[in-house]
Amino acid sequence: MILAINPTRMELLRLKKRHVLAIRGHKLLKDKQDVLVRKFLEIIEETKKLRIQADNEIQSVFQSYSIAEGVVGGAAIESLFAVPGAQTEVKFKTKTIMNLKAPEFEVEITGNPYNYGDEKSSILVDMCVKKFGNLLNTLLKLAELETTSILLAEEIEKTRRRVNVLEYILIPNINETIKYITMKLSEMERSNLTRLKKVKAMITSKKGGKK
Amino acid sequence: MKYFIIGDEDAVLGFGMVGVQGRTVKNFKEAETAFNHALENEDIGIIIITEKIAQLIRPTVDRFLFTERFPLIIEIPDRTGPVSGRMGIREMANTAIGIKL
Repeated sequence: MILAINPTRMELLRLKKRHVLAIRGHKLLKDKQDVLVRKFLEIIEETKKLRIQADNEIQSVFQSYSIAEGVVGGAAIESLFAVPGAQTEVKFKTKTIMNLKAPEFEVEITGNPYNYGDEKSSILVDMCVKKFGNLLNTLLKLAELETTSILLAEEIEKTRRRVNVLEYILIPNINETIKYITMKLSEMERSNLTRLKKVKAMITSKKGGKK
Repeated sequence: MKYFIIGDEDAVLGFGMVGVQGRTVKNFKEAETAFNHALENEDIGIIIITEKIAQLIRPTVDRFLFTERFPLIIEIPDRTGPVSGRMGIREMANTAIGIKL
């Protein structure tokens, strides 16, 4: 498609500049896309591994929880933790991947989670608490990775659209328009030349007629 | 920022041991209200939700997961083990955003 632009020399110059810019932009975006895809695949692999690890961890945590519950009793556990001793805080930071803000977290458990009475409890409960604490870290890392991969996927899609627009629409259009304007200009040149020749012929024939 | 756990009694109690607040959920309606409650509270940065509960309100969770950055949502299996046929993150990204890699 030819862009809606007047076929003048000014526009031709401007278009040529745009053409150079578009090609440069296309190259840059393409590079960005490649890097993003590579990062995405890396993160996906990592996520998969971590997911499996987390699943196993969760299983083992619930197992030890079940044992603790069996030994101590569900109601007793509930009363032990009716007032939680620990406070879990998450610190939020962002890190940048290719101009993309990815979340990064740090977990912070403040207070003492083991502040329950000893006589009703058991070492099994203590172990359970410890495991849950570790599990939180793994889950945090997993959440971080999954969110990052979703963000990356979105960014890849966006970049891909831009690359495609440049490659298949804008650059061909500019090329076509440049061609159109060049043709138009040389056509004008030619018609001007013939007109001048015609005028010259008319003038000389007039002069010749007078003489 | 804080964690928030939505799940069955065991999960909530278990994470309660390390100071994570949560809400016990048994049916669709409770799940919906708990989820919305968690979203409204700006102090909550990460929502941990068990898979079974997430299944109940799947459309809400998925819509949220792909439109909002915050809070993060993480699904975990409950004590009965992982639900079979769970979508991996790659398939999720594929279906949600429509990219093929």
